[in-house]
Amino acid sequence: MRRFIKNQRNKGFYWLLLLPSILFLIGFLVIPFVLLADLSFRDVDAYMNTQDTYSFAQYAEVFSSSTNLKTVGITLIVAFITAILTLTLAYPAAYLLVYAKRSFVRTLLYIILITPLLTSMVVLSFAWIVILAQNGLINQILVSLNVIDEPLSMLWNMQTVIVAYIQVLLPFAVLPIATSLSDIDPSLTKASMSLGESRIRTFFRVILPLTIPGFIAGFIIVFSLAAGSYITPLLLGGRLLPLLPLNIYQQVIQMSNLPLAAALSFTLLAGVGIVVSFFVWMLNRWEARMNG
Amino acid sequence: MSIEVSDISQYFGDQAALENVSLDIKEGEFFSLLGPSGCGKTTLLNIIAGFLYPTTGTVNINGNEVTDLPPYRRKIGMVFQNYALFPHLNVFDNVAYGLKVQKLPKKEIKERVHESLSLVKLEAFAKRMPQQLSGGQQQRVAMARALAIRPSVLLLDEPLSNLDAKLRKEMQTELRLLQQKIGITTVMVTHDQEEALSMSDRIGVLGEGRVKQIGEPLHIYRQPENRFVAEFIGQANLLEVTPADHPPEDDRYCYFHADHYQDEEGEPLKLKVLKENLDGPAEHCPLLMIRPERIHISDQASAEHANEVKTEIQHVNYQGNAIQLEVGMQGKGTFQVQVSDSVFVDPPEIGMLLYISWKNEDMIPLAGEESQNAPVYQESKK
Repeated sequence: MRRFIKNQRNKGFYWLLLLPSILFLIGFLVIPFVLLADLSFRDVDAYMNTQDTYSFAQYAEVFSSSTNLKTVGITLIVAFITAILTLTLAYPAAYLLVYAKRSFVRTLLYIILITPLLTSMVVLSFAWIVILAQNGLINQILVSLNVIDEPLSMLWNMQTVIVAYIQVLLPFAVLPIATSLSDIDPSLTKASMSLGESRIRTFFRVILPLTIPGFIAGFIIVFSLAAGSYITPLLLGGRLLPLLPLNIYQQVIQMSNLPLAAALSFTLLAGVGIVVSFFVWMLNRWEARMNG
Repeated sequence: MSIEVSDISQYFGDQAALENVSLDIKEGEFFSLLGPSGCGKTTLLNIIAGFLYPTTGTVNINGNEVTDLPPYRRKIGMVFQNYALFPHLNVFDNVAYGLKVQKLPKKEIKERVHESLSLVKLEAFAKRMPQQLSGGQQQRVAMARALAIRPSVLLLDEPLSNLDAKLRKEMQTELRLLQQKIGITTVMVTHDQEEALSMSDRIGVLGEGRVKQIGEPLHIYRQPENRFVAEFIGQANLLEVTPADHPPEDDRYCYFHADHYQDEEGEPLKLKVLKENLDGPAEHCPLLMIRPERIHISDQASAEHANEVKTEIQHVNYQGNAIQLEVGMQGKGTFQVQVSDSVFVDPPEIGMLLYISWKNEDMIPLAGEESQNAPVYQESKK
């Protein structure tokens, strides 16, 4: 009984510790979210002024326009491709990060990995402009070497946006994979080799399957961030690319159609939510299998 | 299959982990590598398994040199301290892992997995995941997995050290019976002397990267060759002695003084050892060992034993089946004595007078310190 009372008191104390962050989240996440949801069901007049009346008009607009639907699809596909490519590149990096023999090499690699996270997305994207622009670094070098006569147009397309996404999002994929790699008991590799399996095949039969949780976690993070990013495509791809975040940005800044922007935002959220839920479900299934 | 380890040295940078280690492990033998942590026993096992390439020396399995072969070409069965079961595979797939490497037909894999699991009495657990098994069961799955590939030798790296005391005792017997049933050459690394003594055909005691003694358990315990082995295995009273004059008419004995043991008048303890018990001349014997359980106690002096000392109880450690006594001579010097619980009706008390004695043949001469505390790697670097 005493114990029970003590536990109750402890619980109260934990809630007290959480209170500031909970209040912050209610004030700056939950309330804006509700307001946004409210906004998405409002009507607009001919001058895009938000009305007091409610309807499904904005969602009807989103789902009746084939352009909008195509944009939703392309956004999700681009995020998917980005996530797959990022994870492929992240895996060897994570492997090196975990298995580098010398500890100062590991520390150095961690610093290199974290540095981009400390830099603003705008700065990172501008760096790409400096490199890829018509009079940028690559074009100048290629022209002066007489490889090409005319500067290549490397900006303002989807490929460049994906490359920039990969660069910006790579650390988010490396870290979860590195975490699950370092959780693997080194004697598993030894056990596999003592049973006659070579190092490479051991990787595919033991190491790779055991990093699936890190892989899925990395996928979820990179996919969500890529699907929702607008600064990178805006600076490198231009506002005409069929990406939902750019579309939302346009509706807010140029068309001032706030209810439509809100409806588009919720569409994006739902799309990402469906894909992410699927992967969370896979992760849970994997864990359930491991624990029998 | 026999294992021959010849002249193995292993350096990590400047640090010698192993120095000129040679072992000859016979077919079907259960051989234990015993030593304190950091003595190089695990390093040696990793060299035999192929996970480490020795700085110098060779490893032969059944007469074929395998020093240059990677571990996956050596056909070894290995059991690890933490079992190293693959957590994403169930018991069946864990045991089948090595068989799938050999690309055996499905039917044969199934038969051999069941055969291995029945050896460790776990057939009913084939569908379980490793996380659902107790420590003892995981240990047995690890054994089954290692044996399923029908390895030429079995290597055990502290296989029982993660189990609780009672289960460990059971598994010691079980493991030993299993090994004898299959007749597989086995090398076990352990720091637990009791485990090594009870399970092994022979024991190699390692210390500071060197082989200190190789022999059967009984021989290792009763006739340690040096101070290291005497102190590491069991308890030992070690008496530093100097040769003393002896009466000319007495040729059968060598006489010694133990200067660190003195009676109330400051006279050093006098010892006489049968000449045939000494390996060489008395001058070459700096140290005598007496095991605590070889010491007899009595509350009065008697002439029955050749070596009798008057002492006082200084410390009593009751252990249930045995009583551990620390008794001191009245000048200086203490002995560890172990007697059966049945010796005393009432527990002995501190300060009680006790006459301790031992037989001549229970004094074991040990080699001098310099032979085993030699500087670790100067000579082999030449």
